[in-house]
Amino acid sequence: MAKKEEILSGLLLELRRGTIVLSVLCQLSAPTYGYSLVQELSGNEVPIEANTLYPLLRRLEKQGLLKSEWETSGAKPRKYYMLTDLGSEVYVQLKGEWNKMVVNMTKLMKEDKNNE
Amino acid sequence: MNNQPYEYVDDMINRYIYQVTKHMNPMTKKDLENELRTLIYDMLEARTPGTTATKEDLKAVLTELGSPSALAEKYRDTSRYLISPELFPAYLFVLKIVLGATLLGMCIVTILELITSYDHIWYSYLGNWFGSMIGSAVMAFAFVTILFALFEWKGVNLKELLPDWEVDELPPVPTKQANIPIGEPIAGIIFTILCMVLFTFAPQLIGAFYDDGGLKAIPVFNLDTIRVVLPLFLMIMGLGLLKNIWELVDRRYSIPYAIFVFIINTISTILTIIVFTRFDIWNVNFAEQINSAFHLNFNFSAIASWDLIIDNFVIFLVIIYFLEIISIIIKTIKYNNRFDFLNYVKSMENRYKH
Repeated sequence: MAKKEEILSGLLLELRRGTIVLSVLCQLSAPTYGYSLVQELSGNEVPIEANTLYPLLRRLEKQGLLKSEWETSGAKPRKYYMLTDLGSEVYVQLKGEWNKMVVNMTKLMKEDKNNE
Repeated sequence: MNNQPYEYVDDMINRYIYQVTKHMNPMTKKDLENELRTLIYDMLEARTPGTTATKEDLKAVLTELGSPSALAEKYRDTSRYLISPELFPAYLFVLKIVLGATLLGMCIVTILELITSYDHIWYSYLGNWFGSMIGSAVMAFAFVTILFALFEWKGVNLKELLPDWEVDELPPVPTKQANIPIGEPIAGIIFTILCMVLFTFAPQLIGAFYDDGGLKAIPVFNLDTIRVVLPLFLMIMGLGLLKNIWELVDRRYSIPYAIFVFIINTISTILTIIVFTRFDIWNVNFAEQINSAFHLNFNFSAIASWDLIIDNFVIFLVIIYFLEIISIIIKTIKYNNRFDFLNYVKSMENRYKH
């Protein structure tokens, strides 16, 4: 049965991968630094590893969806990220698509005849 | 006492960050270093709130982040390759043939040298053989690797994966005759490399052998001239190798292949004409030397026929190049239909518009 677990965790990983960007964008309407975002997402049971999130933040910044600023007044210098105007627009549209997808998928799976 | 693990932690964090960022763009490097450093200290603090982090804590945190090279890879936008996985099978295939042919050539040269020597001791040849085997293997490896790295860098895609593919640009399904038989390029590579090795290391052995208390060779070529024209010789043969390697990677009589052969053979023809008409590359006394070595009594006309051969050899070579071009043009026309030609012209137009 180890095989079944393996297949399942592989599929789950793929399923989550598509939602990572959305989970990051939705948290960045206010300036946030990377590690607090890691903790925030873990607290909401959407865990993401720091070694995935940090490169992703840079990529989104390069695409123009995020902007960043160094905050050096605290004990440690921290890089804060937040949505740009473009990022907000993209986020709203992506969220709309996600909601549609949830509705459609739920409907589709209700019609599933195997599901009694 | 408490101080020591702390220094250790700082030191290891610096080392880790250095490894992650060492190949990064200098513009963003400093920024990334600072961000990673804060992240690692944040993660340590989350594990040990209020106390000093120990070696074990550090180990756990850095293990969670993963190996420095893996993390650096995640920061890279695109994967970079010297030779990408798409080209690698072709690279390996060509490399094996070229290496094999080179080593075989070196063995043959060494054996011939050993046979034709009588004042040398065999183990000094063994030493020579070993040294030249390693040297020529490294050369062959470098040649193939640099060639494929150039393909990779220039994005030469011999498989014709056009960026915007169109349905009617799909290459035709090859029939058996429409493919270049695989033996042709392999035999070509082996023969060419044997020639290169022989011309470079032992031009004196290209000739007629006779027994005179030990095997001796009468060279066909003028050895002094051969040394001078060697670079031109190697260029001609190198062009031949390029053609064979193309054939191994893409075995169709495609339009780009026909154009490539046309260019290669034209350059080879020019170089060949230069080599054979501007230099005295033949051993003009070959016929006389044969005469005396074998105690034959050739008459004057036999010696004259040697002159006839060397005078006309270049014409013979040029005809071979010419026939090859004609044969490939005919096959290309035969195995490509009119759509392929139109599409090729169209794709070239698109490529040069950008």
